[in-house]
Amino acid sequence: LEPITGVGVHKSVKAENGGALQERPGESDEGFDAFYRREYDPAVRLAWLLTRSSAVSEDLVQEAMTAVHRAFSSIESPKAYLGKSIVNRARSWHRDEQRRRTRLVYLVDDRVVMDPADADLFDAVGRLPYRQRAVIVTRYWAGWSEADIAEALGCRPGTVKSLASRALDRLRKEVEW
Amino acid sequence: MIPDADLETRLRRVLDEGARQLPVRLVEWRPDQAVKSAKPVKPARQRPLLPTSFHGRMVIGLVAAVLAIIAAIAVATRSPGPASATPALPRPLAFTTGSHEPAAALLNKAAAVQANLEPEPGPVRFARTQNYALQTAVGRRKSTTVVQTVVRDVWEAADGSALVREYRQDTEAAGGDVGGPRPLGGRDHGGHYRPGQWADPNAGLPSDVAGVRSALLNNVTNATDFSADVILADEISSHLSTGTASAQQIAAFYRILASLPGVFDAGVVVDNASRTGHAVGVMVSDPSAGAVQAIQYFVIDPNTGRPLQVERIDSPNPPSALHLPPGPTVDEYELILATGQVDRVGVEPAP
Repeated sequence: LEPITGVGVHKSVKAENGGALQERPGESDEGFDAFYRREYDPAVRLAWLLTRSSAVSEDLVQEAMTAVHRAFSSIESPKAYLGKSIVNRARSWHRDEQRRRTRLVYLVDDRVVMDPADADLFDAVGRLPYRQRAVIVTRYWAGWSEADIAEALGCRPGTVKSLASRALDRLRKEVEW
Repeated sequence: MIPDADLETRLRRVLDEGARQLPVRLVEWRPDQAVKSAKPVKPARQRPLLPTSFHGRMVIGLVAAVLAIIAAIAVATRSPGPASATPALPRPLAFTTGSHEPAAALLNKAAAVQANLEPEPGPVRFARTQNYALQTAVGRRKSTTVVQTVVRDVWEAADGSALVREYRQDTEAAGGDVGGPRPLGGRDHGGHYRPGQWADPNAGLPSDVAGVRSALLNNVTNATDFSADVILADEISSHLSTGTASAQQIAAFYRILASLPGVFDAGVVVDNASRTGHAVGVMVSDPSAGAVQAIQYFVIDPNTGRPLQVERIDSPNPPSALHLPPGPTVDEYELILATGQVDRVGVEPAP
């Protein structure tokens, strides 16, 4: 196949609602301690939406923060690095968790109190395959751009679109059932 | 059916609410972790490539001799065929790269044929498609790439209800574990759908060029990182590959494709169901975005204008995370095997 040029140009995008990967002014100048204190809370919530276990989320965030600390002086956006690190660590956790769940009845997820219809949708997000769940959470909760999600998941932006579309179809079926 | 925008709004609210309820207590940063992670890594001790002692050299020599004997036996007894470990990945069809004009002419001709078709009798729309896709699970130390093939039969009644049957066959990239096609169970893999529950992208889609174009661009919310041409080509591939588009809609898809300056002639090919067709291609990624470019091909029967296969290729190599051999790689293809109107749900059209 010969390279083809001049078609299909896409531009980088901004996250939709002040997304989690956007740099705040002065972020790169601050110390790790301040970064940790500011980002710990949203990082745990992101990890929890991906794993639905507060204990696991705290561990994942500690691991991810350690990785950020190690690279803090050399990375351009610690926040982006942290987010991607959490998504990747949650994926590994899911892989191991699925293996465990085939052998054990193990479901002590943290429960939330919501209107029943909303709770159904929230639970349905938790049942999505990991990549679809990661796309939904990072896109609609964290507000990441498709390019950022693609980079974190190691896929093309087109795949993010199709994962999102499949996830929405599945969620729609679940809530309309 | 809940519109995408409503579902997305609900999702944002529900996720916000769920995340808000999680009690998060700041765990102080543990300096021991910081010290541990900040500690410089010692360089590995330099070891000689080969043992220097007499005993060590004897062991290495013995191991080398055993390996040489095993290799000789393997070469002597190796036979070609399905038992070999050649990856079971399909090769991209033999597409060529041509100019825009013949591609536009082919598409416009096929559009004219489709637009002039008489409506088929029968209240139920039937489509049989076969989808091939690479699925991958990427771990920290290992990734597993699985080839997944799904054959799907869909019957859509006029009231919007549908019957869907899916059969899946998984194959490891190395060619192992080839089970027979098996029906997929569960709510997400077929069954009966009440009106409005089966999300056919072609249901309710206009059939005139302007209407289709506008609807396709509106379909893709939050995709501001792609040009309109890429969105249109990508969307058309999705809509065509379901096999449920009407002849009028197919004609509109072809006319839109013909209008995209990036569409090029890709020559005569034999598709994965051994049918001869003519292909057009279009790049659906940004040439400057990265090392992997995605090219979408559409294989069309030039006589009937029917879409035969939609194939997406990663070029010049697959994404590195897939750990596949280098070279242009089929990311996904969809064969449109049979389509038509039938009298009732569950009945296949005559061949």
